[in-house]
Amino acid sequence: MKNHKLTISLILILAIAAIAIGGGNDKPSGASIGQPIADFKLPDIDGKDRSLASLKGANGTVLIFISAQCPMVRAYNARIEKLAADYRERGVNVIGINSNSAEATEDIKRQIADNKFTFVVLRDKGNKIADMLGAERTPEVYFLDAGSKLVYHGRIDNHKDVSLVQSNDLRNAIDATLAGKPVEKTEAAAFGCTIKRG
Amino acid sequence: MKRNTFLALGVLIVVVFQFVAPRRVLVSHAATAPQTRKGTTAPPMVREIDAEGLKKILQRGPNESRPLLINFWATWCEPCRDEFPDLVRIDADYKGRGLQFVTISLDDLADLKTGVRQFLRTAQAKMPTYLLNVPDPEPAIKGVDETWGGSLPATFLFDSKGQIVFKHTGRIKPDELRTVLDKTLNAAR
Repeated sequence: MKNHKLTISLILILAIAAIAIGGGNDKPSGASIGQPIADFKLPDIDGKDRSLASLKGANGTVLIFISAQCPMVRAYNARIEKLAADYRERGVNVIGINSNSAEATEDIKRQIADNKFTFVVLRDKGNKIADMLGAERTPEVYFLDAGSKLVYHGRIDNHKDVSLVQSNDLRNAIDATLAGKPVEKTEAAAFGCTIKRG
Repeated sequence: MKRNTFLALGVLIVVVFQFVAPRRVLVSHAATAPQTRKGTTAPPMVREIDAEGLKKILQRGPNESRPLLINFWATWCEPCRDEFPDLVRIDADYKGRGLQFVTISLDDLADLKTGVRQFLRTAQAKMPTYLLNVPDPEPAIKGVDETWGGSLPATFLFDSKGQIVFKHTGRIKPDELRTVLDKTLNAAR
């Protein structure tokens, strides 16, 4: 009985310590590599509800968290559109998600027009999907295979300056998946703007 | 009647002064920064470091027992700019209490001598600042904290044993950080 109480006390202490170390971070646990991503619905930039199931590619889907204001995303806008154009015919669709609570719809529309985005951008007010996936920054990508299983998470590549890119991590993951091979590098980090949650 | 009014006014001035005084201390502290001939604050030094340099900052020397507060930021990052005055105040308040505080800029190298130094000068920042210049940010990010994905701003507090006791991505909440700093510095004594 005494041992039982001691064990419960230790668990409680450890739980409190874990919360303390997490100090102030509301980071959700998010999706794990290999885990299927459940279907969801979000409004597009015109307010029309769109589901993942209706937008996903036959061979894979790139969910990419973007921002209209983040300079790091601005550096990647052209690369994101090129990625969407390059892989569309190969059955991989790109879906943009804007989860920044403070960004105006007009600014997002301007970003789409200025960069001639040909992919759908969804509005994640309330950060429902950012929380579900554990997205923290922009740009941040989640690549799902044909069965909507998460096979890559993280950055697009290693450098915001396109001339200094040495590691095309997202393209490597897509190419491996399309070739029926396992993704070698399933996660990669990069600096980016924190998603401003509402 | 007039006498009472003057008395009340005097009491009011003393009370107001009590609230204003702490701010004045900070302002006068900032005014002690090195001055250039034109009377402006000298631009702070910003050293360029690579992943190895960052590792050395995190490992610290064998005789270094001060808790380490480290903030990652960039001039292009809006919440980083927003939180900087709070960090400057925290540096001023805790430096004398045994805190080591460094900031790491993720700006481009081309911005080191202009944008970054200008920003630090305007913010009247005194904490050592480094510019991290790496071809691949992943090892640097994971070297700080395995669970960090690289979102900015990011603030980490390592205790005297080098263990992370606080981490926060996004704009800091100053009161929350100060509470953890008080606790960590008291434990380090």
